[in-house]
Amino acid sequence: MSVELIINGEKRRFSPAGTKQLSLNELLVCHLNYPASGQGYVVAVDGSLVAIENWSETVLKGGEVIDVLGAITGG
Amino acid sequence: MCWEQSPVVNQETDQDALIIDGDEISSRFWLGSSLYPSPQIMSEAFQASTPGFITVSLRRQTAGDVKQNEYFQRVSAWLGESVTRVLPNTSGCRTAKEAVQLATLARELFGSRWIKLEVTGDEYTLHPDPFELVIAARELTDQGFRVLPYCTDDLMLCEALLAAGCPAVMPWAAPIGTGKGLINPYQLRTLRARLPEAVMIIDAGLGRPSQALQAMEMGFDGVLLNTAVARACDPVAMASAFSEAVNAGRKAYRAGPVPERDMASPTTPVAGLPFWQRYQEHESVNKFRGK
Repeated sequence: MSVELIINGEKRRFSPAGTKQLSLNELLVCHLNYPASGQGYVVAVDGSLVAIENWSETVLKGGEVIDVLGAITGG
Repeated sequence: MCWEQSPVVNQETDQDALIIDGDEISSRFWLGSSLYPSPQIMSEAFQASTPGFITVSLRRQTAGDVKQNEYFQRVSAWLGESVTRVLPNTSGCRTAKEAVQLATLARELFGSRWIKLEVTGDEYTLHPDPFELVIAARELTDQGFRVLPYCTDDLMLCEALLAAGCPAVMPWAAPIGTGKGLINPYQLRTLRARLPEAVMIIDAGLGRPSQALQAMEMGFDGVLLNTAVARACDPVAMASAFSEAVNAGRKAYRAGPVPERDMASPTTPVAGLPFWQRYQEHESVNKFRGK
């Protein structure tokens, strides 16, 4: 079963591996290729920070708004 | 009489550290990390000026962006090898809620409780929204952030932000990126006079080192800028010039500038001037009287 998510403002559809539910960790590392170390970026689900230690247990049911943010220069 | 002398300045000692929320900040010159022509030039500008804080931000990024971010790699390298601190901002946020959310993410990403709080009220002027700013400041200080709000020079707003728990406020000199300098010196002087104990950093709108010096001579505690350095023909030289101007302005403030006068006052003593006699007026005076 696939789930539809909004990733950085774009609607996208993802299927979890096997019959498992899609976790935030799987989404970021396996589907989107962000570094598994979590180094250099942070993630918000529906506007709230999800710390790296909670990525595996965060199940995405569909409809979530996910923002992946990295450091940039600023004034 | 040194009328511009602030009671917070201790002239008895040479100690003049900038202390905010109990932490000593290494320099009164703070610099943004944006708009430089290259990562190399940005690094050299940091080296030339050794700022107390470097401002950074955060935005949506793809996996590729995260892995190949040369500007931020340079910022990280500089922060690792210097005493400069990182100051993430909430640039682009339009509500208190957005600013609080972004600050929370910034704290996780940069590992710092310092936050430059920005809430924009008007896209054209980038005028801060004072109402949302105070709401966000209160919420963030309650969550343990050390909030440095970018605000206007409004006295009541600065008072409200300090009352919300901000350890310092950062009133603008002029709107961001305009380079106009101190557009309302009267208001800034009033702010300094009415809040003599508050730490106040002039943030944004400066274009030239002389304007930074002017702000420091008024008694402000530091200066934060970006565009004036990053967009200069030679950003490295300009960063150094601003850093020196900030130090010179601080020294001048502590030295106690003389009050302005409407009438001239001779520097060379008049007493003892030859050719003048007590009983006769000087011929130049008679000349004007038509004698």
